[in-house]
Amino acid sequence: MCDYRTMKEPEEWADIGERVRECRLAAEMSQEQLAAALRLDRTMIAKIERGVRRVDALELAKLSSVFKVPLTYFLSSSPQVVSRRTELADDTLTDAARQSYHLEVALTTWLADIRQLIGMGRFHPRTIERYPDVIQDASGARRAAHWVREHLGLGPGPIDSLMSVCERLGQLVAVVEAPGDGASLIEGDLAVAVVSRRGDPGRRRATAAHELGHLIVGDEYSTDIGVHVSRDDREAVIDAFAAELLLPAEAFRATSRPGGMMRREDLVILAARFRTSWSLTVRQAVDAGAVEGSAAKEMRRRNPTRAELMEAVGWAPQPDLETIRVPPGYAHAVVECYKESLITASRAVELMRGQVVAADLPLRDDADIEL
Amino acid sequence: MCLNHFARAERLDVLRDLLTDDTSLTTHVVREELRAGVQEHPLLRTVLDTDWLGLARLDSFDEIRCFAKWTQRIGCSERDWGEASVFAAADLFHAVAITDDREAVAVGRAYGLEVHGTVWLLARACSKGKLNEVAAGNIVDALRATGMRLPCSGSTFGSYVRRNIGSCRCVPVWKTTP
Repeated sequence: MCDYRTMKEPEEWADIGERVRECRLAAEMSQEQLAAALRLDRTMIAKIERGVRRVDALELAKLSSVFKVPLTYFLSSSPQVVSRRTELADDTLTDAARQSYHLEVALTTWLADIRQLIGMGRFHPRTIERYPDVIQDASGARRAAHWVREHLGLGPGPIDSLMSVCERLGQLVAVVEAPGDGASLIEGDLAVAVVSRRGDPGRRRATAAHELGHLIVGDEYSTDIGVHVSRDDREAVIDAFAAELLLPAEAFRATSRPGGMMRREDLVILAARFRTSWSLTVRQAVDAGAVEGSAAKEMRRRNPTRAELMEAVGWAPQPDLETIRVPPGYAHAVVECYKESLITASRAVELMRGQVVAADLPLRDDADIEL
Repeated sequence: MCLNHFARAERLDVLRDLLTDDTSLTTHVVREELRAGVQEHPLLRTVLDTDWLGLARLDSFDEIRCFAKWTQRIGCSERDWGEASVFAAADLFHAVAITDDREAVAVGRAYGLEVHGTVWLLARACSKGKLNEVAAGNIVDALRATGMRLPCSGSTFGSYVRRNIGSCRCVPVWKTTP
């Protein structure tokens, strides 16, 4: 049978082909390897990538399975912000570019899933909120963090669920399996962010707070998508917001020893209570004047162990951004859609990104359905 | 989706006879699923060899978009592809989807799709005089013997149909609109 099909929608097929090529490069696969996975000839892969050969539903489904991306990813157009990133090319591909691409896929998929639930009429995200003043430096970013705490009535203590805080401010965060730290974007009336599940819980919270910073601080930062490993000036401003939001300087003043500097064990307790990474805790301690630079240097070398951190909070479970993968309002919408048979259990589990398994879903009375 | 069990029960000819007035289709996705199962169940090859079953390849841009839309409702994993492809074909061709997965039936109907199961198909054949209740019951038992999950046994087929389906409407299965 001839496997070559005539083209009717050349632009769409070219877009699909480009996505296939990018996914293949990000997966570090050659055309030969992809061809073997799909049981196609290598020349067919080359033609698909050039947009001169159609793919059918089954081939597209297999591509989604091989690359571990949803099928809809090949068909949807990239959000405007994502489309501004540097293109993936065979000869310039770096690990950072691959990581960035995986985060973009996760972000695009997350946005599509949110739009699906909105389209079903079962999800109504909150309006995006922003800090009313212009932020030009780190001290302005810290003021913005105080504004968030005051605006939401959080008080000076540890933030229990950062996921909920983000949702209340209009940013929908998902914890995803992609490598890297996190990424965020604003498209129309939706602000979305993804945080990598890889890395310790403190780092995940720092990343989520960082992505919230992109939203709160303003538009000029929200276009800066990608892995936020670069510590340029703008990222430093965002990091100051994130650190102050998670662990306010006031917390050091409230717990410091009379007339003295704080010791490592004091910081371990704060890191455990506020669930912050050790590096962020030490950095905030220095900024708050609770620890001297030389002592901080020594402390940075001695990360607290898990037992030390758990001991500090009485071995209480710390679920944020570990077992909680999606915002509460979104999770509720998924369950509503499931209960109304708008989605199957299988799809509900996918949408919840591992937060539940099928057995966790409520019983649905479909025994009476007439077949 | 009942093709698998009709083939394994060696009743594919019966299914063909039940659908003689209809245009019947399956999808390329389902066909390839069946092909993958041939080694374990050689009788599945009979589906691949049939000449009365049309094929929806789902290879135009609108068709694969429709397929993608149904994966967003049914699920994206490999075990969901067949169901999603059948619903996409039924959606595109304004046809009736046949599946015996209760959950999929509920989801398909939630979006206005006409979805029925094997028992409905047999009941329809009875109401059209193509099959009597005993013969339909025998088919039910033969299908159940292959591991197919059906809501009734051969002996309870008649009472199940009277209780749950009533008099069958004569709606063509996989009939494309003129």
